[in-house]
Amino acid sequence: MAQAEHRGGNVAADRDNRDLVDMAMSPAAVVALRGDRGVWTTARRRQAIEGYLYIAPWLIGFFFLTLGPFVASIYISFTSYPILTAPKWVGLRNYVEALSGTDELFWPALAKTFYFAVVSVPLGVVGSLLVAVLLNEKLHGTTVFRTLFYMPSLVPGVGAILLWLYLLDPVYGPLNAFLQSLGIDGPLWFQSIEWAIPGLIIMALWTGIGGSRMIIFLAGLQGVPEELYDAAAIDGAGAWHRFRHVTVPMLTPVIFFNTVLGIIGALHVFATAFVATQGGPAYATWFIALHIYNQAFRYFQMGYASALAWIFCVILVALTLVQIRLARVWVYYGGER
Amino acid sequence: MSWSNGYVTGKWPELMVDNFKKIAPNVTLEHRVITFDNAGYAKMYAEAAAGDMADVVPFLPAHYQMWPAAHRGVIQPIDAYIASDKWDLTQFFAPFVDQQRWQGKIWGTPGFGWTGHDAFIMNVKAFEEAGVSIPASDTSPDWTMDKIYEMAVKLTKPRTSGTGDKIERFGLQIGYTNIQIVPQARAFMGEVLNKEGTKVLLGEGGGLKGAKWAYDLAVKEKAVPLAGGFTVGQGETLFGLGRLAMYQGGSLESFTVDKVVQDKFPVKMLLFPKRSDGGRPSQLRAGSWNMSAKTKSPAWTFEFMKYLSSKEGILTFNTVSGNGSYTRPDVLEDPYFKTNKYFGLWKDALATAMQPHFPANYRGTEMEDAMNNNQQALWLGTADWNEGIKKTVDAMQKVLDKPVE
Amino acid sequence: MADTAIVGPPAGVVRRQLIRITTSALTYLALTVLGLVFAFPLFYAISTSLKSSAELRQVPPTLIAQVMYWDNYVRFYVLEPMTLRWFANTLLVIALSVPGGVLTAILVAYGFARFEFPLRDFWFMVLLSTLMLPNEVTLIPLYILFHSLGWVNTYLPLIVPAWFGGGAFSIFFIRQFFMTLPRELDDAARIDGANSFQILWRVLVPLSGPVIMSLFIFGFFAGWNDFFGPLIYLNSRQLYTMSLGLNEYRTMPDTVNVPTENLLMVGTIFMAIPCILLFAFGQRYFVRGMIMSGLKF
Repeated sequence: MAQAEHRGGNVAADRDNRDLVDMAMSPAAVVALRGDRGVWTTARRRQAIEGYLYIAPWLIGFFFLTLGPFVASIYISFTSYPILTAPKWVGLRNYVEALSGTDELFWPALAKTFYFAVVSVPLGVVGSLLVAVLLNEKLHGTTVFRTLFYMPSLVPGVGAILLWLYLLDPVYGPLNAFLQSLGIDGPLWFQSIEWAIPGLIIMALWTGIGGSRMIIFLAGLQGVPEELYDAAAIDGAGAWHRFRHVTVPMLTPVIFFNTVLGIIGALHVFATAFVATQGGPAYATWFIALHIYNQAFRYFQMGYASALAWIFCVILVALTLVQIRLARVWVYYGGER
Repeated sequence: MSWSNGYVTGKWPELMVDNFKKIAPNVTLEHRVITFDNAGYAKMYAEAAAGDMADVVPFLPAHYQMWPAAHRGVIQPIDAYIASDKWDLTQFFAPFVDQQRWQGKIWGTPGFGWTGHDAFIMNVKAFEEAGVSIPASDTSPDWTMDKIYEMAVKLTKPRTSGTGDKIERFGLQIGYTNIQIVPQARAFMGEVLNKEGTKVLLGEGGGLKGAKWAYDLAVKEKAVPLAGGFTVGQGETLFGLGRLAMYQGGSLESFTVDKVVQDKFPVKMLLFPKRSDGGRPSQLRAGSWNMSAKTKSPAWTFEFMKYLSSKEGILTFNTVSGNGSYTRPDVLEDPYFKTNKYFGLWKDALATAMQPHFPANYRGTEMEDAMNNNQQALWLGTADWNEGIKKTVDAMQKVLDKPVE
Repeated sequence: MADTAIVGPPAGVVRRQLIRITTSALTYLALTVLGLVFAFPLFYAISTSLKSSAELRQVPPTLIAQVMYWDNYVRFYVLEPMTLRWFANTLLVIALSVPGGVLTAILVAYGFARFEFPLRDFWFMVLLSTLMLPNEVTLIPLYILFHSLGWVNTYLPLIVPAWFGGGAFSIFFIRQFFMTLPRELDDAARIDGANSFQILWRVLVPLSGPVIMSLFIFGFFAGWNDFFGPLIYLNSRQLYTMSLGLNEYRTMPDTVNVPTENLLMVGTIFMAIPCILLFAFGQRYFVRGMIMSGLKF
């Protein structure tokens, strides 16, 4: 993730400037100050106070709306809490129940969620990259196409889900009718155990390929310096070669960003399952987020649901850290490294 | 005073609120429209905890919600109010009153209800085409579960020409969910759950026979559209299109089937075959109007509950919303019910309607979810019969074995 | 040398031109095919919205409605009179939450971008890590917190949190952009006697137009589509937002046995139109904003 950066000013030069009371001091000089082992001047203190004041909205919100609930949910996860009566301490029971497989829905829910993410995210990232590349060719009318591709992501979530429920209806929907016309017996999609998640993946790709991810890639593509392409062209590189050896490496930070966020988002899949299949057929789309919701709001097991949420959180954090670690191998930061 | 309701929206609640103003002009009654989804109950609990749940609330026994709410102290018994008002409970059909009882007390007024999916609705024309005769009544000797099985097979017509799916007409639409399987189990003298709600009986005796009866029709004979990509809700539509000869339904169908069928073909309805012990396979699915445990105006709350369950309240519930739901005999005298061609069947069924057995550990819909999903897996062919039904029973029992908390 | 006068461009140039034309043609082809694939569902949504209920169950399905039931657009509202209310509710929630989110995000991002204070980098890492958190973890305690405050079944849980920074992503986004603006601008203003707030308001914000517009647009979309928040916190149907309302529409008792995809598509289209319009008009800002934010990774 991004690191704090120091901008402006020549630190070395400023270090010579010991006149600290002057209010027209640049932050770089403050840095110099800190290097002098913490002399708290009025200016420095004021900056610290102001800094905290500005971030106060987030900081306060963080404590009350994030950290507080966080800590509370740790406590709740060790209790049995059917909402109405007071929480009853049960120790590690909830965690054991989930991790040992006593709750026979837990591990499969994770597996199904990962299946969804592992297929939809790479396809989505590659897809939006390719579309961005196509749009980046300076041809006429790409704005029209760009709008067209972006439109699916503008259809609000529930609406898109309902639309796809009908598109993928095994008997009355156009997709199977189209397959039928080619002589193929279409699968039962959301009424079939094997094809429910693929159906959700297709829906996710429809909204995911042309959306903001594509725009971010476009932005990234436009950030690739022309000189690199020219240099490669002079060396005799063809279009594909340029793509592989100039575009892609320069884009790796953007690819990384899109992939990490994409995986985080995909693992949270809830609304599509909730609206389209309610976790069925036969638990086929019983994703982890849905499992947590059902435990909390349909089975009155808030304590257990909290434990599930924590396990999920730990997995997510671990996964993201692994990705960040791996990024050092394949992500190329260009001029910044 | 406030009233939470999600079951029927639109004109009926407005009518109730307006009419109640005439009874109690000084009472302001707020109608809160809530979601009818099962998650709505958890939210009502949260409202109760925060102290602002409505005074009149619907914790439906049909959703297995009334007893947990009573157990958790969210609603309160109304025996005292019934006694002091000398409210006559015999104005209702006995089974509906019985359903409001728990641990010796009465917890709600019977608002609406029906006897569940306890009938078969038939397309007479399809029967004629297939050469199957319709028995005269549900006590006819040629109206047994085995006979119905044969009929369904005979009524199924595979597609011989043209495009589209492989079956032109399905014989029977039945389901595998709790709502539909209980009558089937009971038709074979069995049960899905024991009376106390602690043991699953689906895997033995009549319960097993009922489940297998349904399974064979669906998977072996392919007479049921459900496993072929149709969802439960589409049964009536298929029926209206002439693609389904018969389906399992209830008294509600008396009023809704004509909307779908119109004049296309004559329809006949028959209850499940009467059992040898005289019982009629059914599962009472009733609503209830309950009194919040923390209500600040119990007297008026009770007045409104009485009104909702009065002849006027229940009759308008049906006439305004097009339902076929009743809990008291006097509404049946009304032309709305009397002129309905099919409804007469249920007049006798009411006195003998069977109570549902509900899970004893108050975990919401967890057992039903386990049952429905595993049954669906079985019907979609992921396991063979023995394996699949065992899995279903085990999953259900596992839920029932969890502690009461 | 007269006989070699008219020779034409060298072979290499011709070859390059041919390659360019072919690539362009292929690109157009690919874009068109993709465009059709992406556009089809939208087209089908419109087509479905005009069909009669019976036609919805026709096998094989028709591409365009045989008879255009324009009055579906009226029926949608008549069948469920609360639909307009649901629209209004959604707009209300957005109007009360998005400006708060953008405003506070600007403030917080300014703090992170321009000020030195102890633990600044630590807090920034914390901010970023909240992007990773599944909201399921905080869901239940937040729910309990809100209902102990009496906020359940009101819009407060959907509005108030926005005013505390508007979300980690917004803060991150603007902060990145602020970092690309030279400090000299700040210094110049400071010399003129401006305090920190004036610097923010008079120098940085005016330069951040596209980025801020993008945030407004993102915020609008997020609020418009939000399903989970309303699902958890709103019980009464009259308070529903459009997302939740559309889902309810499917399960209304009056419509259980009648196919309603046509009406649902009417709802979907109505929900999509404001977003499409907003995107069409705001596209310049939107795209420029994302590019300008520098998104230095």
